[in-house]
Amino acid sequence: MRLERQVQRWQEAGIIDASTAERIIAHERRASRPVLLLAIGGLGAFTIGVGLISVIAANWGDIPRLVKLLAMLGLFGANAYGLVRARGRQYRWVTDALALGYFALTLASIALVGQTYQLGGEPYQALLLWLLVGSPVLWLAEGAFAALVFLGALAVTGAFSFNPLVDLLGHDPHATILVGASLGSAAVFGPLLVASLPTLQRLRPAFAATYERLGWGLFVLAASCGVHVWYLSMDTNDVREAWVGARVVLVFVALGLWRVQGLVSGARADWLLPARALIGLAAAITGLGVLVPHAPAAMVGALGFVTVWALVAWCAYQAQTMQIVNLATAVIAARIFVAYIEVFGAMLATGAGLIVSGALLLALAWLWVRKIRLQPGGAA
Amino acid sequence: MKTHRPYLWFALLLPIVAFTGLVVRAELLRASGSVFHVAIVGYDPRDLLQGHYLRYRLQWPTDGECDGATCCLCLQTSGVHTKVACGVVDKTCDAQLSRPVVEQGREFFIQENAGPALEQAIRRGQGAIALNVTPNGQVHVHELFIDGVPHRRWLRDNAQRQ
Repeated sequence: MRLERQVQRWQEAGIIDASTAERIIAHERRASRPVLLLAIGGLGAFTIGVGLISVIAANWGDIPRLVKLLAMLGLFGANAYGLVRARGRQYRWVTDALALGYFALTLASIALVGQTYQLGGEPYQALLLWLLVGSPVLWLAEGAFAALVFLGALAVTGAFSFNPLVDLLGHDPHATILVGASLGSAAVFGPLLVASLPTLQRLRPAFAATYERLGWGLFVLAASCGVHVWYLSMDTNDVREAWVGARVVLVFVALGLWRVQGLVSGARADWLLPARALIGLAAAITGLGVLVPHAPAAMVGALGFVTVWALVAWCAYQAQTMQIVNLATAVIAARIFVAYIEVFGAMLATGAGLIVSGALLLALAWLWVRKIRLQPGGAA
Repeated sequence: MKTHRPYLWFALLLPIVAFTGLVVRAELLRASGSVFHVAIVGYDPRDLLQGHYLRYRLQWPTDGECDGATCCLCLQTSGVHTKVACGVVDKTCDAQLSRPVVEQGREFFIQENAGPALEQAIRRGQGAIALNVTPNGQVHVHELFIDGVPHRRWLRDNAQRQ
Protein backbone atom coordinates (compact mmCIF):
# COMPACT_ATOMS: atom_id res chain seq x y z
CA MET A 1 0.00 0.00 0.00
CA ARG A 2 2.94 2.32 0.75
CA LEU A 3 4.17 1.95 -2.79
CA GLU A 4 0.75 2.79 -4.27
CA ARG A 5 0.53 5.94 -2.13
CA GLN A 6 4.04 6.97 -3.08
CA VAL A 7 3.42 6.42 -6.79
CA GLN A 8 0.15 8.35 -6.50
CA ARG A 9 2.06 11.28 -4.92
CA TRP A 10 4.61 11.27 -7.75
CA GLN A 11 1.76 11.20 -10.26
CA GLU A 12 -0.01 14.11 -8.54
CA ALA A 13 3.27 16.06 -8.48
CA GLY A 14 3.53 15.54 -12.24
CA ILE A 15 6.78 13.55 -12.01
CA ILE A 16 5.32 10.50 -13.75
CA ASP A 17 2.25 9.91 -15.89
CA ALA A 18 -0.52 7.35 -15.33
CA SER A 19 0.93 4.66 -17.60
CA THR A 20 4.35 4.92 -15.93
CA ALA A 21 2.68 4.66 -12.52
CA GLU A 22 0.89 1.49 -13.62
CA ARG A 23 4.10 0.02 -14.98
CA ILE A 24 6.00 0.78 -11.75
CA ILE A 25 3.31 -0.86 -9.60
CA ALA A 26 3.12 -3.91 -11.92
CA HIS A 27 6.90 -4.28 -11.87
CA GLU A 28 7.22 -3.97 -8.09
CA ARG A 29 4.36 -6.44 -7.52
CA ARG A 30 6.05 -8.94 -9.81
CA ALA A 31 9.38 -8.58 -8.04
CA SER A 32 8.05 -8.28 -4.48
CA ARG A 33 8.23 -11.13 -2.00
CA PRO A 34 5.55 -11.40 0.72
CA VAL A 35 8.12 -11.98 3.47
CA LEU A 36 5.77 -12.69 6.43
CA LEU A 37 3.55 -14.96 4.36
CA LEU A 38 6.61 -16.75 3.05
CA ALA A 39 8.05 -17.13 6.56
CA ILE A 40 4.83 -18.61 8.03
CA GLY A 41 4.22 -20.75 4.95
CA GLY A 42 7.83 -21.88 4.95
CA LEU A 43 7.71 -22.78 8.65
CA GLY A 44 4.50 -24.77 8.14
CA ALA A 45 5.89 -26.59 5.11
CA PHE A 46 9.16 -27.24 6.96
CA THR A 47 7.31 -28.74 9.97
CA ILE A 48 5.19 -30.99 7.75
CA GLY A 49 8.31 -31.96 5.80
CA VAL A 50 10.28 -32.88 8.93
CA GLY A 51 7.31 -34.90 10.26
CA LEU A 52 6.92 -36.77 6.98
CA ILE A 53 10.64 -37.44 6.75
CA SER A 54 10.65 -38.77 10.34
CA VAL A 55 7.76 -41.17 9.64
CA ILE A 56 9.35 -42.36 6.39
CA ALA A 57 12.83 -42.67 7.95
CA ALA A 58 11.52 -44.76 10.85
CA ASN A 59 9.97 -47.25 8.40
CA TRP A 60 12.48 -46.87 5.57
CA GLY A 61 13.75 -50.43 5.70
CA ASP A 62 10.24 -51.85 5.48
CA ILE A 63 9.16 -49.80 2.47
CA PRO A 64 9.39 -51.96 -0.67
CA ARG A 65 11.93 -50.94 -3.30
CA LEU A 66 9.30 -50.39 -5.98
CA VAL A 67 7.31 -48.04 -3.73
CA LYS A 68 10.40 -45.93 -3.01
CA LEU A 69 11.28 -45.65 -6.70
CA LEU A 70 7.71 -44.83 -7.74
CA ALA A 71 7.48 -42.22 -4.96
CA MET A 72 10.61 -40.58 -6.34
CA LEU A 73 9.06 -40.51 -9.83
CA GLY A 74 5.92 -38.99 -8.27
CA LEU A 75 7.99 -36.25 -6.60
CA PHE A 76 9.72 -35.54 -9.91
CA GLY A 77 6.33 -35.36 -11.65
CA ALA A 78 4.80 -33.01 -9.04
CA ASN A 79 7.83 -30.70 -9.07
CA ALA A 80 7.96 -30.68 -12.89
CA TYR A 81 4.22 -29.91 -13.08
CA GLY A 82 4.76 -26.99 -10.68
CA LEU A 83 7.61 -25.65 -12.83
CA VAL A 84 5.57 -25.87 -16.03
CA ARG A 85 2.64 -24.07 -14.35
CA ALA A 86 4.87 -21.42 -12.75
CA ARG A 87 6.70 -20.64 -15.99
CA GLY A 88 6.00 -17.11 -17.17
CA ARG A 89 3.89 -16.26 -14.10
CA GLN A 90 4.50 -13.05 -12.18
CA TYR A 91 6.06 -14.61 -9.05
CA ARG A 92 9.60 -15.42 -10.17
CA TRP A 93 10.61 -16.71 -6.74
CA VAL A 94 8.19 -19.65 -7.13
CA THR A 95 9.99 -20.74 -10.29
CA ASP A 96 13.36 -20.27 -8.56
CA ALA A 97 12.30 -22.33 -5.53
CA LEU A 98 10.87 -25.13 -7.70
CA ALA A 99 13.98 -25.20 -9.91
CA LEU A 100 16.21 -25.48 -6.83
CA GLY A 101 13.91 -28.19 -5.46
CA TYR A 102 14.20 -30.11 -8.72
CA PHE A 103 18.00 -29.80 -8.61
CA ALA A 104 18.03 -31.18 -5.03
CA LEU A 105 15.59 -33.93 -6.01
CA THR A 106 17.97 -35.03 -8.78
CA LEU A 107 20.74 -35.64 -6.24
CA ALA A 108 18.27 -37.41 -3.93
CA SER A 109 17.19 -39.70 -6.79
CA ILE A 110 20.79 -40.71 -7.53
CA ALA A 111 21.40 -41.37 -3.83
CA LEU A 112 18.17 -43.39 -3.64
CA VAL A 113 19.24 -45.72 -6.46
CA GLY A 114 22.66 -46.14 -4.85
CA GLN A 115 21.15 -46.94 -1.48
CA THR A 116 18.26 -49.12 -2.71
CA TYR A 117 20.49 -51.29 -4.88
CA GLN A 118 23.49 -51.19 -2.50
CA LEU A 119 25.70 -49.75 -5.25
CA GLY A 120 29.11 -49.11 -3.79
CA GLY A 121 30.28 -46.28 -6.03
CA GLU A 122 32.48 -43.28 -5.26
CA PRO A 123 30.77 -40.02 -4.18
CA TYR A 124 32.39 -38.07 -7.04
CA GLN A 125 30.61 -40.29 -9.61
CA ALA A 126 27.21 -39.44 -8.13
CA LEU A 127 28.11 -35.74 -7.88
CA LEU A 128 29.34 -35.57 -11.49
CA LEU A 129 26.16 -37.25 -12.74
CA TRP A 130 24.12 -34.82 -10.60
CA LEU A 131 25.83 -31.80 -12.13
CA LEU A 132 25.49 -33.20 -15.62
CA VAL A 133 21.78 -34.02 -15.54
CA GLY A 134 20.59 -31.62 -12.84
CA SER A 135 22.25 -28.34 -13.82
CA PRO A 136 20.05 -27.55 -16.86
CA VAL A 137 17.06 -27.04 -14.56
CA LEU A 138 18.90 -24.26 -12.69
CA TRP A 139 18.84 -22.24 -15.92
CA LEU A 140 15.05 -22.01 -15.44
CA ALA A 141 15.69 -19.98 -12.28
CA GLU A 142 16.67 -16.34 -12.54
CA GLY A 143 17.71 -15.35 -9.01
CA ALA A 144 21.21 -15.06 -7.61
CA PHE A 145 20.63 -17.92 -5.14
CA ALA A 146 20.41 -20.47 -7.96
CA ALA A 147 23.73 -19.18 -9.30
CA LEU A 148 25.31 -19.64 -5.86
CA VAL A 149 23.84 -23.14 -5.46
CA PHE A 150 25.31 -24.16 -8.80
CA LEU A 151 28.71 -22.82 -7.80
CA GLY A 152 28.48 -24.62 -4.44
CA ALA A 153 27.62 -27.89 -6.19
CA LEU A 154 30.54 -27.36 -8.57
CA ALA A 155 32.93 -26.67 -5.67
CA VAL A 156 31.82 -29.78 -3.74
CA THR A 157 32.15 -31.93 -6.88
CA GLY A 158 35.60 -30.46 -7.52
CA ALA A 159 36.71 -31.22 -3.96
CA PHE A 160 35.49 -34.82 -4.19
CA SER A 161 37.07 -35.26 -7.64
CA PHE A 162 40.58 -34.22 -6.56
CA ASN A 163 41.75 -37.60 -5.23
CA PRO A 164 40.15 -39.68 -8.05
CA LEU A 165 41.84 -37.38 -10.60
CA VAL A 166 45.19 -37.88 -8.88
CA ASP A 167 44.54 -41.65 -8.83
CA LEU A 168 43.69 -41.53 -12.53
CA LEU A 169 47.01 -39.84 -13.26
CA GLY A 170 48.88 -42.55 -11.37
CA HIS A 171 49.83 -40.66 -8.17
CA ASP A 172 52.58 -38.83 -10.04
CA PRO A 173 53.72 -35.88 -7.84
CA HIS A 174 53.71 -33.56 -10.86
CA ALA A 175 50.19 -34.67 -11.73
CA THR A 176 49.06 -33.90 -8.18
CA ILE A 177 50.49 -30.38 -8.45
CA LEU A 178 48.91 -29.94 -11.89
CA VAL A 179 45.47 -31.07 -10.69
CA GLY A 180 45.74 -28.84 -7.60
CA ALA A 181 46.82 -25.83 -9.68
CA SER A 182 44.04 -26.40 -12.21
CA LEU A 183 41.27 -26.76 -9.62
CA GLY A 184 42.64 -23.85 -7.55
CA SER A 185 42.96 -21.54 -10.55
CA ALA A 186 39.49 -22.50 -11.76
CA ALA A 187 38.10 -21.70 -8.29
CA VAL A 188 39.80 -18.27 -8.22
CA PHE A 189 39.28 -17.17 -11.84
CA GLY A 190 36.25 -19.31 -12.84
CA PRO A 191 33.47 -17.03 -11.50
CA LEU A 192 35.02 -13.92 -13.12
CA LEU A 193 35.50 -15.66 -16.47
CA VAL A 194 31.94 -16.99 -16.46
CA ALA A 195 30.56 -13.57 -15.42
CA SER A 196 32.26 -12.00 -18.44
CA LEU A 197 30.29 -14.14 -20.91
CA PRO A 198 27.93 -11.90 -22.92
CA THR A 199 25.33 -14.69 -23.20
CA LEU A 200 25.10 -15.00 -19.40
CA GLN A 201 24.93 -11.22 -18.97
CA ARG A 202 22.11 -11.00 -21.52
CA LEU A 203 20.02 -14.01 -20.48
CA ARG A 204 20.70 -14.23 -16.72
CA PRO A 205 21.91 -10.82 -15.49
CA ALA A 206 21.48 -11.83 -11.83
CA PHE A 207 23.76 -14.85 -12.35
CA ALA A 208 26.42 -12.67 -14.04
CA ALA A 209 26.26 -10.01 -11.30
CA THR A 210 26.58 -12.63 -8.54
CA TYR A 211 29.52 -14.36 -10.21
CA GLU A 212 31.24 -11.01 -10.82
CA ARG A 213 30.96 -9.95 -7.14
CA LEU A 214 31.98 -13.38 -5.91
CA GLY A 215 34.78 -13.60 -8.48
CA TRP A 216 36.36 -10.31 -7.42
CA GLY A 217 35.99 -11.31 -3.76
CA LEU A 218 37.72 -14.64 -4.37
CA PHE A 219 40.46 -13.05 -6.44
CA VAL A 220 41.26 -10.37 -3.85
CA LEU A 221 41.21 -13.00 -1.08
CA ALA A 222 43.54 -15.28 -3.06
CA ALA A 223 45.84 -12.36 -3.95
CA SER A 224 45.92 -11.18 -0.31
CA CYS A 225 46.96 -14.67 0.81
CA GLY A 226 49.22 -15.33 -2.19
CA VAL A 227 51.54 -12.33 -1.72
CA HIS A 228 52.39 -13.62 1.76
CA VAL A 229 54.40 -16.40 0.11
CA TRP A 230 57.31 -13.92 0.50
CA TYR A 231 57.24 -14.67 4.23
CA LEU A 232 58.54 -18.19 3.40
CA SER A 233 61.86 -19.23 1.95
CA MET A 234 61.85 -20.96 -1.44
CA ASP A 235 64.67 -23.31 -2.38
CA THR A 236 65.36 -24.71 -5.84
CA ASN A 237 63.27 -27.85 -5.17
CA ASP A 238 60.21 -25.79 -4.21
CA VAL A 239 60.69 -23.61 -7.27
CA ARG A 240 61.00 -26.65 -9.56
CA GLU A 241 57.69 -27.98 -8.24
CA ALA A 242 56.03 -24.57 -8.53
CA TRP A 243 56.97 -24.32 -12.21
CA VAL A 244 54.87 -27.46 -12.89
CA GLY A 245 51.65 -25.71 -11.90
CA ALA A 246 52.74 -22.25 -13.08
CA ARG A 247 51.79 -22.91 -16.71
CA VAL A 248 48.17 -23.60 -15.78
CA VAL A 249 48.00 -20.54 -13.50
CA LEU A 250 49.53 -18.37 -16.25
CA VAL A 251 46.83 -19.46 -18.68
CA PHE A 252 44.14 -18.45 -16.18
CA VAL A 253 45.87 -15.10 -15.46
CA ALA A 254 46.06 -14.39 -19.20
CA LEU A 255 42.38 -15.31 -19.59
CA GLY A 256 41.52 -13.05 -16.65
CA LEU A 257 43.46 -10.10 -18.13
CA TRP A 258 41.73 -10.60 -21.47
CA ARG A 259 38.17 -11.32 -20.32
CA VAL A 260 37.99 -8.59 -17.66
CA GLN A 261 36.92 -6.27 -20.47
CA GLY A 262 33.73 -8.33 -20.70
CA LEU A 263 32.85 -7.14 -17.18
CA VAL A 264 33.08 -3.47 -18.09
CA SER A 265 30.00 -1.78 -19.45
CA GLY A 266 30.44 1.40 -21.50
CA ALA A 267 29.68 3.75 -18.61
CA ARG A 268 32.14 2.11 -16.25
CA ALA A 269 35.09 1.64 -18.61
CA ASP A 270 37.32 3.76 -16.33
CA TRP A 271 38.17 0.87 -14.08
CA LEU A 272 39.42 -1.48 -16.80
CA LEU A 273 43.04 -0.30 -16.38
CA PRO A 274 43.14 -0.61 -12.55
CA ALA A 275 41.36 -3.99 -12.78
CA ARG A 276 44.01 -5.26 -15.19
CA ALA A 277 46.74 -3.76 -13.02
CA LEU A 278 45.27 -5.56 -9.98
CA ILE A 279 45.22 -8.96 -11.73
CA GLY A 280 48.64 -8.47 -13.32
CA LEU A 281 50.50 -7.09 -10.31
CA ALA A 282 48.99 -9.56 -7.82
CA ALA A 283 49.91 -12.43 -10.17
CA ALA A 284 53.42 -11.02 -10.69
CA ILE A 285 54.18 -10.52 -6.97
CA THR A 286 52.82 -13.97 -6.05
CA GLY A 287 54.42 -15.58 -9.11
CA LEU A 288 57.87 -14.16 -8.31
CA GLY A 289 57.42 -15.36 -4.73
CA VAL A 290 56.98 -18.97 -5.80
CA LEU A 291 59.04 -19.11 -9.00
CA VAL A 292 62.27 -17.45 -7.81
CA PRO A 293 64.42 -18.96 -5.03
CA HIS A 294 64.63 -16.54 -2.10
CA ALA A 295 65.07 -16.23 1.65
CA PRO A 296 62.11 -14.98 3.71
CA ALA A 297 61.39 -11.36 2.72
CA ALA A 298 58.51 -10.26 4.92
CA MET A 299 58.75 -6.65 3.74
CA VAL A 300 57.98 -7.68 0.14
CA GLY A 301 54.95 -9.69 1.34
CA ALA A 302 53.62 -6.78 3.40
CA LEU A 303 54.19 -4.27 0.57
CA GLY A 304 52.58 -6.71 -1.86
CA PHE A 305 49.51 -6.88 0.36
CA VAL A 306 49.30 -3.08 0.57
CA THR A 307 49.74 -2.86 -3.21
CA VAL A 308 46.87 -5.32 -3.80
CA TRP A 309 44.52 -3.32 -1.58
CA ALA A 310 45.66 0.01 -3.01
CA LEU A 311 44.73 -1.32 -6.44
CA VAL A 312 41.39 -2.53 -5.05
CA ALA A 313 40.79 1.02 -3.79
CA TRP A 314 41.74 2.47 -7.19
CA CYS A 315 39.36 0.06 -8.99
CA ALA A 316 36.54 0.90 -6.59
CA TYR A 317 37.23 4.64 -6.89
CA GLN A 318 37.04 4.45 -10.68
CA ALA A 319 33.86 2.39 -10.42
CA GLN A 320 32.52 4.93 -7.87
CA THR A 321 31.92 2.24 -5.24
CA MET A 322 32.85 4.25 -2.18
CA GLN A 323 32.12 1.50 0.36
CA ILE A 324 34.84 -0.63 -1.23
CA VAL A 325 37.27 2.32 -1.27
CA ASN A 326 36.66 2.79 2.46
CA LEU A 327 37.04 -0.93 3.14
CA ALA A 328 40.31 -1.06 1.17
CA THR A 329 41.81 1.92 2.98
CA ALA A 330 40.74 0.46 6.34
CA VAL A 331 42.41 -2.85 5.43
CA ILE A 332 45.62 -0.99 4.46
CA ALA A 333 45.58 0.88 7.76
CA ALA A 334 45.10 -2.38 9.68
CA ARG A 335 47.93 -4.00 7.70
CA ILE A 336 50.28 -1.10 8.52
CA PHE A 337 49.52 -1.67 12.20
CA VAL A 338 50.19 -5.42 11.81
CA ALA A 339 53.48 -4.59 10.07
CA TYR A 340 54.42 -2.33 12.99
CA ILE A 341 53.74 -5.20 15.42
CA GLU A 342 55.79 -7.55 13.22
CA VAL A 343 58.76 -5.18 13.30
CA PHE A 344 58.54 -3.86 16.86
CA GLY A 345 56.63 -6.78 18.42
CA ALA A 346 59.26 -7.31 21.12
CA MET A 347 58.74 -3.73 22.33
CA LEU A 348 55.10 -4.49 23.16
CA ALA A 349 56.35 -6.11 26.38
CA THR A 350 57.40 -2.64 27.59
CA GLY A 351 55.14 0.20 28.68
CA ALA A 352 56.70 2.61 26.18
CA GLY A 353 56.14 0.12 23.35
CA LEU A 354 52.46 -0.22 24.26
CA ILE A 355 52.03 3.58 24.38
CA VAL A 356 53.67 4.03 20.96
CA SER A 357 51.61 1.24 19.38
CA GLY A 358 48.39 2.64 20.87
CA ALA A 359 49.28 6.09 19.54
CA LEU A 360 49.97 4.63 16.09
CA LEU A 361 46.61 2.84 16.10
CA LEU A 362 44.81 6.06 17.07
CA ALA A 363 46.73 8.02 14.44
CA LEU A 364 45.79 5.50 11.74
CA ALA A 365 42.13 5.59 12.82
CA TRP A 366 42.15 9.42 12.78
CA LEU A 367 43.84 9.48 9.38
CA TRP A 368 41.27 7.06 7.99
CA VAL A 369 38.21 8.82 9.43
CA ARG A 370 39.32 12.39 8.68
CA LYS A 371 41.45 12.17 5.57
CA ILE A 372 40.79 8.94 3.68
CA ARG A 373 37.21 7.71 4.24
CA LEU A 374 35.02 8.94 1.45
CA GLN A 375 31.42 10.03 1.69
CA PRO A 376 28.85 8.67 -0.79
CA GLY A 377 29.24 11.85 -2.86
CA GLY A 378 32.95 11.11 -3.26
CA ALA A 379 34.25 13.80 -0.87
CA ALA A 380 36.73 13.02 1.93
CA MET B 1 12.71 -13.99 -18.73
CA LYS B 2 11.12 -16.53 -21.07
CA THR B 3 12.57 -19.99 -21.43
CA HIS B 4 12.03 -21.84 -24.68
CA ARG B 5 9.58 -24.71 -24.33
CA PRO B 6 11.92 -27.41 -25.79
CA TYR B 7 14.61 -26.37 -23.28
CA LEU B 8 12.08 -26.56 -20.43
CA TRP B 9 11.17 -30.13 -21.35
CA PHE B 10 14.81 -31.06 -21.85
CA ALA B 11 15.73 -29.71 -18.38
CA LEU B 12 12.78 -31.46 -16.74
CA LEU B 13 13.07 -34.80 -18.51
CA LEU B 14 16.86 -35.21 -18.29
CA PRO B 15 16.94 -36.08 -14.53
CA ILE B 16 13.94 -38.40 -14.93
CA VAL B 17 15.59 -40.21 -17.87
CA ALA B 18 18.84 -40.50 -15.88
CA PHE B 19 16.99 -41.84 -12.84
CA THR B 20 15.09 -44.38 -14.94
CA GLY B 21 18.33 -45.37 -16.66
CA LEU B 22 20.08 -45.92 -13.34
CA VAL B 23 17.19 -48.08 -12.09
CA VAL B 24 17.07 -50.17 -15.30
CA ARG B 25 20.86 -50.63 -15.22
CA ALA B 26 20.77 -51.68 -11.57
CA GLU B 27 17.93 -54.14 -12.26
CA LEU B 28 19.80 -55.64 -15.23
CA LEU B 29 22.99 -56.01 -13.17
CA ARG B 30 20.97 -57.62 -10.39
CA ALA B 31 19.42 -60.12 -12.77
CA SER B 32 22.69 -61.09 -14.49
CA GLY B 33 23.97 -64.38 -13.12
CA SER B 34 23.28 -66.68 -10.22
CA VAL B 35 22.98 -65.46 -6.64
CA PHE B 36 25.66 -66.66 -4.19
CA HIS B 37 25.72 -66.41 -0.42
CA VAL B 38 29.22 -65.51 0.82
CA ALA B 39 30.28 -65.23 4.47
CA ILE B 40 31.53 -61.81 5.56
CA VAL B 41 33.78 -60.31 8.24
CA GLY B 42 33.93 -56.79 9.62
CA TYR B 43 36.14 -54.49 7.54
CA ASP B 44 37.40 -52.63 10.61
CA PRO B 45 37.50 -54.87 13.73
CA ARG B 46 37.17 -51.82 16.04
CA ASP B 47 34.17 -50.14 14.43
CA LEU B 48 31.99 -51.79 11.80
CA LEU B 49 29.49 -48.94 11.66
CA GLN B 50 29.84 -45.71 9.76
CA GLY B 51 26.60 -43.73 9.98
CA HIS B 52 23.95 -45.82 8.24
CA TYR B 53 26.51 -48.16 6.74
CA LEU B 54 27.87 -51.47 7.95
CA ARG B 55 31.44 -51.95 6.72
CA TYR B 56 32.50 -55.45 5.78
CA ARG B 57 34.47 -57.54 3.35
CA LEU B 58 34.01 -61.00 1.87
CA GLN B 59 35.55 -63.87 3.79
CA TRP B 60 37.99 -66.34 2.22
CA PRO B 61 36.89 -69.97 2.65
CA THR B 62 39.29 -72.34 4.42
CA ASP B 63 38.82 -75.01 1.69
CA GLY B 64 40.91 -75.08 -1.47
CA GLU B 65 44.31 -76.08 -2.77
CA CYS B 66 45.46 -72.59 -3.57
CA ASP B 67 47.34 -70.44 -1.08
CA GLY B 68 48.85 -67.02 -1.71
CA ALA B 69 48.40 -63.82 -3.62
CA THR B 70 47.36 -65.46 -6.90
CA CYS B 71 44.24 -67.11 -5.46
CA CYS B 72 40.72 -66.35 -6.62
CA LEU B 73 37.46 -67.08 -4.84
CA CYS B 74 35.56 -69.82 -6.64
CA LEU B 75 31.82 -69.30 -6.13
CA GLN B 76 29.41 -72.20 -6.47
CA THR B 77 25.62 -72.07 -6.42
CA SER B 78 25.71 -75.00 -4.00
CA GLY B 79 27.08 -72.54 -1.42
CA VAL B 80 30.38 -74.39 -1.02
CA HIS B 81 33.00 -71.85 -2.08
CA THR B 82 36.71 -72.63 -2.45
CA LYS B 83 40.03 -71.00 -3.24
CA VAL B 84 41.43 -71.70 -6.70
CA ALA B 85 44.38 -70.44 -8.70
CA CYS B 86 43.34 -67.44 -10.80
CA GLY B 87 43.32 -67.95 -14.56
CA VAL B 88 42.89 -71.73 -14.30
CA VAL B 89 39.61 -72.79 -15.87
CA ASP B 90 37.70 -74.62 -13.16
CA LYS B 91 34.37 -75.95 -14.41
CA THR B 92 33.08 -76.43 -10.89
CA CYS B 93 33.17 -72.62 -10.40
CA ASP B 94 30.01 -70.76 -11.40
CA ALA B 95 31.88 -67.46 -10.95
CA GLN B 96 35.33 -66.32 -9.82
CA LEU B 97 36.36 -63.26 -7.85
CA SER B 98 39.93 -61.94 -7.84
CA ARG B 99 41.79 -61.20 -4.59
CA PRO B 100 41.40 -57.38 -4.83
CA VAL B 101 37.64 -57.79 -5.33
CA VAL B 102 37.36 -60.19 -2.38
CA GLU B 103 39.46 -58.02 -0.06
CA GLN B 104 37.89 -54.72 -1.04
CA GLY B 105 36.14 -52.89 1.81
CA ARG B 106 32.37 -52.68 1.21
CA GLU B 107 29.42 -50.95 2.78
CA PHE B 108 25.84 -52.10 3.31
CA PHE B 109 23.06 -49.60 4.05
CA ILE B 110 21.19 -50.40 7.26
CA GLN B 111 18.72 -48.70 9.58
CA GLU B 112 20.75 -46.85 12.18
CA ASN B 113 18.91 -48.42 15.16
CA ALA B 114 19.70 -51.89 13.80
CA GLY B 115 23.42 -51.17 13.87
CA PRO B 116 24.51 -52.58 17.27
CA ALA B 117 22.61 -55.90 16.85
CA LEU B 118 23.95 -56.45 13.33
CA GLU B 119 27.46 -55.46 14.40
CA GLN B 120 27.39 -58.11 17.15
CA ALA B 121 26.01 -60.75 14.77
CA ILE B 122 28.79 -60.09 12.26
CA ARG B 123 31.43 -60.20 14.97
CA ARG B 124 30.06 -63.66 15.91
CA GLY B 125 30.46 -64.76 12.27
CA GLN B 126 26.72 -65.09 11.58
CA GLY B 127 26.68 -62.72 8.57
CA ALA B 128 26.61 -63.50 4.86
CA ILE B 129 25.99 -61.42 1.77
CA ALA B 130 23.83 -62.49 -1.16
CA LEU B 131 25.45 -61.29 -4.37
CA ASN B 132 25.69 -61.96 -8.04
CA VAL B 133 28.66 -61.47 -10.34
CA THR B 134 28.09 -59.54 -13.56
CA PRO B 135 29.73 -60.74 -16.82
CA ASN B 136 32.48 -58.09 -16.42
CA GLY B 137 33.35 -59.35 -12.93
CA GLN B 138 31.55 -56.69 -10.87
CA VAL B 139 29.94 -57.76 -7.61
CA HIS B 140 26.32 -56.73 -7.20
CA VAL B 141 25.02 -56.99 -3.65
CA HIS B 142 21.43 -58.11 -3.01
CA GLU B 143 20.88 -58.61 0.69
CA LEU B 144 22.55 -59.07 4.07
CA PHE B 145 21.72 -62.39 5.69
CA ILE B 146 22.14 -63.21 9.38
CA ASP B 147 21.91 -66.89 10.34
CA GLY B 148 20.63 -67.62 6.83
CA VAL B 149 17.65 -65.22 6.94
CA PRO B 150 17.34 -61.69 5.53
CA HIS B 151 18.63 -59.23 8.12
CA ARG B 152 15.30 -57.39 8.54
CA ARG B 153 13.47 -60.62 9.31
CA TRP B 154 16.28 -61.65 11.67
CA LEU B 155 15.98 -58.28 13.46
CA ARG B 156 12.18 -58.71 13.79
CA ASP B 157 12.53 -62.29 15.11
CA ASN B 158 15.26 -61.14 17.45
CA ALA B 159 13.09 -58.30 18.81
CA GLN B 160 10.17 -60.71 19.38
CA ARG B 161 12.38 -63.20 21.23
CA GLN B 162 13.51 -60.43 23.58
